Amino acid sequence: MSSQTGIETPRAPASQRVVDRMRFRVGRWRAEPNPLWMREMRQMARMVRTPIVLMTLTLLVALLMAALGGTLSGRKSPAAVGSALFQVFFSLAYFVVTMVGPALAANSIASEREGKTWEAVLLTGIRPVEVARGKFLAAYTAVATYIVALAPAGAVPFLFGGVTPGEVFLAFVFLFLVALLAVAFGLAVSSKMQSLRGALVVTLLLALPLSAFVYVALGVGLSFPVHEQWHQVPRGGAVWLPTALVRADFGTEYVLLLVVAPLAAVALPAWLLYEITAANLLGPSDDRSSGLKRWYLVTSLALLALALVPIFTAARPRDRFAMALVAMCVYCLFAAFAAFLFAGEPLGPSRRVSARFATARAGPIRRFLGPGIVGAAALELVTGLVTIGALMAVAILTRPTSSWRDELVVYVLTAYVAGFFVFVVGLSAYLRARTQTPLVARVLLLAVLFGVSVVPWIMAAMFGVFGSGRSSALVSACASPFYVFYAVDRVRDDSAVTASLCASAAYAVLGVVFFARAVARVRVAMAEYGRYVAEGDRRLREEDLALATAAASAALPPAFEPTLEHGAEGAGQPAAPSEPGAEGVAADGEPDGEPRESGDGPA
Amino acid sequence: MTTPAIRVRHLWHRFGQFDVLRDVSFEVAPGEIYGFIGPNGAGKTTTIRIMATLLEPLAGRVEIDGIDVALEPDAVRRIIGYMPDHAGVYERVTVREYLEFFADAYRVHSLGVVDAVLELTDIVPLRDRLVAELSKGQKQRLGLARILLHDPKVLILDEPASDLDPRARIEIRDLLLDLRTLGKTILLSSHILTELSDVCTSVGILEQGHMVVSGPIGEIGERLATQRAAQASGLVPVPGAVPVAAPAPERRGLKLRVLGDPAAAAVALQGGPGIVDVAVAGAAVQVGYLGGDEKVAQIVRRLCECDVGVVGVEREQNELERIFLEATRRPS
Repeated sequence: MSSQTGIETPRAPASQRVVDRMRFRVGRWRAEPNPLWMREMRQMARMVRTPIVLMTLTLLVALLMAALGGTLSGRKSPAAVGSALFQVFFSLAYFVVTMVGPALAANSIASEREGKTWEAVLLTGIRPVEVARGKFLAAYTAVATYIVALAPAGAVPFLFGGVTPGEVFLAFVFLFLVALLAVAFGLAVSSKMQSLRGALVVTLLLALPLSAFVYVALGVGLSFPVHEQWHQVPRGGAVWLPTALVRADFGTEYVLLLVVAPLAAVALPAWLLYEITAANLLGPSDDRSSGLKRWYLVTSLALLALALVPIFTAARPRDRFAMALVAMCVYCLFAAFAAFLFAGEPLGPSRRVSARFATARAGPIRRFLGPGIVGAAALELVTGLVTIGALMAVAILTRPTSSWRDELVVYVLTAYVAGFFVFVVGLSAYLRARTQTPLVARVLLLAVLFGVSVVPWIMAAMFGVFGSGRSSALVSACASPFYVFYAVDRVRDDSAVTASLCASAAYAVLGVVFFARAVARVRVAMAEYGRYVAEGDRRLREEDLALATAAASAALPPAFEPTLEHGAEGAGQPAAPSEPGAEGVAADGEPDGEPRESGDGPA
Repeated sequence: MTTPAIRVRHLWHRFGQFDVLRDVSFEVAPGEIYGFIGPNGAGKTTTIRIMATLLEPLAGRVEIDGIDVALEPDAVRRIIGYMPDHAGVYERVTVREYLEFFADAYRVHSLGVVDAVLELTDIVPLRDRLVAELSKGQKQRLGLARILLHDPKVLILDEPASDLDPRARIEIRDLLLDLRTLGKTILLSSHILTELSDVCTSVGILEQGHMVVSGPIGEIGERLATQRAAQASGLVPVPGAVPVAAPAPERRGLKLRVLGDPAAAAVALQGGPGIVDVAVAGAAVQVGYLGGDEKVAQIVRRLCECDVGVVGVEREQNELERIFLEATRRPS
């Protein structure tokens, strides 16, 4: 029974039928909702400013819509005005949701930390994922209130026509999905921040460009290829998906591109943000890695599957080929992001995680997906190289002609993508193995990637100015990953292709070397840590034995006392522990120093 | 042998390159009120946070009721109640709503618990007031109510009476004594020694990350007296090492306010059975004695027999202060 609701919890389902089990679940959810959600709702209900803000916003948007409708109706047909108002309203609503959602969510966990209530919540034994869910539900409810408050203004386009009720309904559905992502994003940032002000500033600074980018790239940008596919969908409108869902012809492409792909585009980032939040809420000695690694594995496969859809649905052979090459580049970006994500991994499992694995009799796969930088790098390498190989095979199969040039383009691009990918993964593992905190590893990785991307072009420019020829000067830029596009473009130029392949091989070798060094470093550090833990346990065992012996001697006749006391003295004086940090490594595999900083997690 | 409620063994912790805890060991028996004393920066809060599963130790082991805090933090959280120094509260909920939330978070499946805890901590009249409207002392009581909701075996309180007025301190002290009668083990950190001496059955003194001394107050006093005597006779060459001595009768102090000449009263008591030392301090007489309340009655009777009017009898309250100063004295 919940104290907050006062509702009696149903004890068990009436029967094993699905309906009864569902009824039981709903009843339980009603009786025992997430306690944090309930509390936040009570607090929110006492805030005076919320209804005022909501009313003002609704009023402003309604006035804007009315003014715009009035202005346009004199010059354009009612249907065009309705369509324009539809775009304007949902664009505005999109920006309201993507700004308000993260801001409200950023408020949640950081405010607990700043208000010093976080530890009290944590010590209740409530699981961090439940905390994340409660906070999410609270912020999502608040954002949903904003959307519902704006809904009457969204009905204004009906007055003019040009949009169907289905389009408006679907647009609202997608608005709720966008709100889900926006809140999850704010929560992920909030879970990392200690101060409320910091959380708000960082969230808004990130949310503003990100939402603008998504609006332009996935909204306005994608409307053009969608128009090419389905001419019923107008070009240039950012809110094209509801229109496409209502007006496009139903078929396989419809399901894959307009239903599955958008849902995946919401679900996969939402899952990532959830895992990041949960990892940040866990302690540094807990298993913060398994969830993220599961997400990476599933997302890799999903990306490969999603990449294949446009490749095989594109109308022209040349487009299919281009799509395959683009998919490879996009995957490379994803792999780089994963390298940054896993640069926060600990060196290996902590004592707590190892004990839990032992208790749960965890199998090799679960242990492999557990904490550890070597496991993370190996996972990245295996999935990455398999995916890149698969995309190469698809590109070869979809090449428009059987000419050697197209084939060479695929090989050059694949070689560079694979080589550079191995380099990035190896380097990130090595940097994490050598540095104290994930932040340092990530900053160094970013600096190196920026350096190898930009510096070769500066060198090429200098060679071009001072050297003899333009072509030979550009060869010196082959170390930059962007050089591969030049090489692909000049596939007839032997020097460009050779330089590109050489750079690919060099990056692959460097990556392998870095990875090997990281493995060696982790092995040494974990062995030291194991020895250190074993030594501590041995001392405590000896002390226990000495105490037990002393207790036994007290119970024995006096004639035995001298011998036993002597033994107890010897064992009862444990050697003073050596400086723990000087030789050993901390529980999360840190070699020395500050092993348990709050930011010492994978996320 | 009963399992200690709290067992800390060879605990080390480090922030950066600074060792905040160095081989700290102590035990707290079930049902005790253990005072954790030390100057600011001694490592009290770090030790307490490790016990409360909020920090993992660099080395050593901490067990609460036999459960390792590093390996099974969830199990430990179910049996401890931790109230940190300057804990925050949710301001925009009522006292009752606040406790209901924590009852749900602790998964306490009983509606009566909140009422019981409100009554135990004597905040029933405040139940419908917003938390924001409570005074500091009331908030502290609310904090105590919160950590009692799941009926923990061990209470860990970090400076529970800091920033409180005298009345609120007395109320908290009385509440702690009530909780002890309910069988709770309480670890109490404070640097207000008089406050601890009123409630604690044993203490531990931490200084610069070292546990200087730990045990029942009387026993520590005796050990220190033995050490002092040994040092005076040159038997203990190394200062700082507290020897384990056989339990000896405890010296207690008494302050007597008398009518007339206090020196006469001092003469009347000097050399009496069980009298350790007698000194005149202003208009009062300070008496050191061995024994319990009967001895106090004997002292008063003796003065009455000698026609010395006894106006007031006060126990010497600074026993713990004396122990603290002596235990943390640095060799010159």
